[in-house]
Amino acid sequence: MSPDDVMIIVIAGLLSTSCAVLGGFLVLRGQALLPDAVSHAVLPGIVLIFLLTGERASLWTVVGATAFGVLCVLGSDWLRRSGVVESDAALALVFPALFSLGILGISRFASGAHIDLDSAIYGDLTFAPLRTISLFGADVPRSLVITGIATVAVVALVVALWRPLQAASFDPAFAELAGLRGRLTGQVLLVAVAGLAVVAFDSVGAILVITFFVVPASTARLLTARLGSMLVVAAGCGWIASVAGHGVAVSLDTSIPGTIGLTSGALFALALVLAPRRGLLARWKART
Amino acid sequence: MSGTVTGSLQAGPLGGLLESLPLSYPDAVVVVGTAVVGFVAGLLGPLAVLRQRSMFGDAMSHGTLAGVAVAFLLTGAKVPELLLLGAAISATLAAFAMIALERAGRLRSDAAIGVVLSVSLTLGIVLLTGISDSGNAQQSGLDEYLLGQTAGMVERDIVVALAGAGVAVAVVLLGFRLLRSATFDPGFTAVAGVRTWVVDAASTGLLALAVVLGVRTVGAILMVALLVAPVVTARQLTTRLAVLLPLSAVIGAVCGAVGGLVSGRAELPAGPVIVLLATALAVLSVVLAPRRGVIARARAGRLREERGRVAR
Amino acid sequence: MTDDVLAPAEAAGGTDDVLLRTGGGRMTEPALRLQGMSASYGGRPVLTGVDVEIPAGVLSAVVGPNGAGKSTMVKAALGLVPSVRGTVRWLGQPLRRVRKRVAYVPQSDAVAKDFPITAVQVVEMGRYPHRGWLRRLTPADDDCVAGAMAQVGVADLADRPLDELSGGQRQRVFLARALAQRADLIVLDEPFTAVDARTEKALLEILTRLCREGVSVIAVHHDLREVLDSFDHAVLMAGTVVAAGAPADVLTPEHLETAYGMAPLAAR
Repeated sequence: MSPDDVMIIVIAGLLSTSCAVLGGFLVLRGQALLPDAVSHAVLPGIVLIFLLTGERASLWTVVGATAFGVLCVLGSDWLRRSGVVESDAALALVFPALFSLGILGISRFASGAHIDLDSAIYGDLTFAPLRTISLFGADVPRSLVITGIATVAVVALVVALWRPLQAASFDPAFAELAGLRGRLTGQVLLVAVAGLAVVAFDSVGAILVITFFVVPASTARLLTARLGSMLVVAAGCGWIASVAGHGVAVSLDTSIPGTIGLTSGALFALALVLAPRRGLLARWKART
Repeated sequence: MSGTVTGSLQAGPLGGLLESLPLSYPDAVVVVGTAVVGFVAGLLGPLAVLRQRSMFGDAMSHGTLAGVAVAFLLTGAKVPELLLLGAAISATLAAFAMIALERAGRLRSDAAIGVVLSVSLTLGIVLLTGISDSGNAQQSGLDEYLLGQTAGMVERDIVVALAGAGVAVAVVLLGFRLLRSATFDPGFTAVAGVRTWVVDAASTGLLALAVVLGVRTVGAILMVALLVAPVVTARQLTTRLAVLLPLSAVIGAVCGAVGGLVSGRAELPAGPVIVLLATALAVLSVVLAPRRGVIARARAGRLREERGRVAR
Repeated sequence: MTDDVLAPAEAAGGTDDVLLRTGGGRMTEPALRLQGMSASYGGRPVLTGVDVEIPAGVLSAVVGPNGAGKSTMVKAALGLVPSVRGTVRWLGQPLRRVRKRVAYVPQSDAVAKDFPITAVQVVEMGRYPHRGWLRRLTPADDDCVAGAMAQVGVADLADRPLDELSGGQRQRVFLARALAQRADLIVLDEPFTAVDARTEKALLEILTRLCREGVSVIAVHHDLREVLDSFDHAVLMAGTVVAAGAPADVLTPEHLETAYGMAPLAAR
């Protein structure tokens, strides 16, 4: 394996770690589709920042994109709370509209620019090692720095907010009454998801965002009985999928994010059938 | 190019209809095509929305990609009808996978949708990448299924869409009473002796039809909005399913037609324009609708409160 | 740390003293006092003009037909319903000043069914109000948790995943969490719905014993017969308070007629 290959795996693995940790909470709270919606909704933010500053990969891009991600979350939440629209319909209403704005923005004002829709959707993980920034005198891939910071930040956040997150995901009323500020930490979680979805979107494209947030966490839920172990196993599944998926992609010469996603799916299918306690086989045996 | 257009104008079964519109022929094709697509999505959208399965449609529309790619690989040519068939099969498979994960796998519905969405999309991407790497000259245009395309629309597409619309209307008319009890009261159908899986299968099939017809026009990513937005708008204006279905279909058709026309004139992609139109209508109706709107409700709540205070 | 003074049993410490409380003297204030409370869901009023006082140190039931606003009244008083008006006093104080002294056992379907958590982890949450976001649980906390689990008879289930437990076992675990909090007041929302008869009897015995020791218990309940037989106090609801007081005085045919539109006890 070349150093570039290792770099791709490390970037994907780091990202899968942070996504799995937040995704675990989303899956347990019934908000698993939020990252997918957010990753689409950020497009107008990216376009807007490009139109204003002419840059498509600056810190401002992250800020602008996150703003629209948060807008998507708040907008669908407002629709839901108005009591008129169910929460799933609210999400389905908001994110396509924002994505549409983004596409119209590109085709109207920025068609000459290099906001390449394909790379936004498929991700350009393959070229991630080539885009470097200089850090302490050394050239380091930009994505590595960003995903590294994001992962450390996410893990620190979850450790600091462990009790309120755990209690509010399990029993919201208790978390509120115990003075743990469950609703507030829920909102912090959503902002963190929006920010991380932007980082992931930038590095691996929209497809892998939903995969990394949902599939490893769902796999881990089948295998574990405690929240802590679930999040660790989820991150592990993400790393396995990154390594194996990269290997498959190289040997078949195909899309790396695509094969990482498929490997995650395969791990999930294995766990669904074979998981010791909650797997289909185990439950079938318990019944007969 | 103009020769073939005139040719199909004379030979096409819809020649008369398209001519009667005060539009140029290519515009007329797009407007009628998007209107039919919007009509079908609006008519069948309630199957997803009223059963709290809106995002189901999202996973199904992403599921079409793999089917399109497989159909292309198998036939080696871009025959639209075969690609549509492939799309329909894989969208249906995606839907059944989600139902199975929920029932047998005991996953929550959002996680089931997320897993299926992710796997079917990545599968589609891997297959499409493989096709485009193989350098097949005809493949260009396969990825228009992701973002949608109206430019290549021809009369034959409208005929296919109209046939689909006919099927949809027929099934909805025939199964209306069943549909009503299934959407509003799942317990009732079980009692009435109709197995829930029959209803599930039928509504899944119909949703697949709507998704497949729409996906080439508005794209896999945006398709879900066309299923959901007209229903939300119509739901604000009526509570009766017998009114809701046609109303939602008409709203869908109008958004499709207007969006198709505007996008053609402004040289913008049609999918986003149609979706933004439909969403704008939905948001307006959520805020302004006479009885169920946010403003109307707030006003009613304040009135009741005042009356209560006077009574005390 | 001054807050910990409010949890008197904790000061007593030790597993054997789980039941020992010093509360008696402070219990002169009513457990719950509501004045002119109203609450609404999505613009629709559910409760109007609720004025009621529930005495401290007794086993009290909130009863009424479905949709009478029993759960809503309790949740609104606990600040779990968005639009609420009126005055709420728990143990004579606003809720935010007595959070640690009030424990809540939610309705069984209000809790995430499929959450990866073990029984002991649930009971440990009862110590969170005292330890906040970050402070570690001390050995004294662990003792308190173990004592609470033993008291409701789930000590042997400590490491079992919650989703493997029966409805009755789960309800015992949630009561253990309330006990581990060492609260002066325990509020339960329909505690016996998903529970077998034996567990119901056992839980009721534990609650009665707690009251003898000075703890106040308020339970939303629907079994009028049981309220008559085992509870000290009852509040009958139908969109507002129909009657409150000793169960025998509250559950009279006239009051029940008002609340239910018929006499449910006679109908049985």
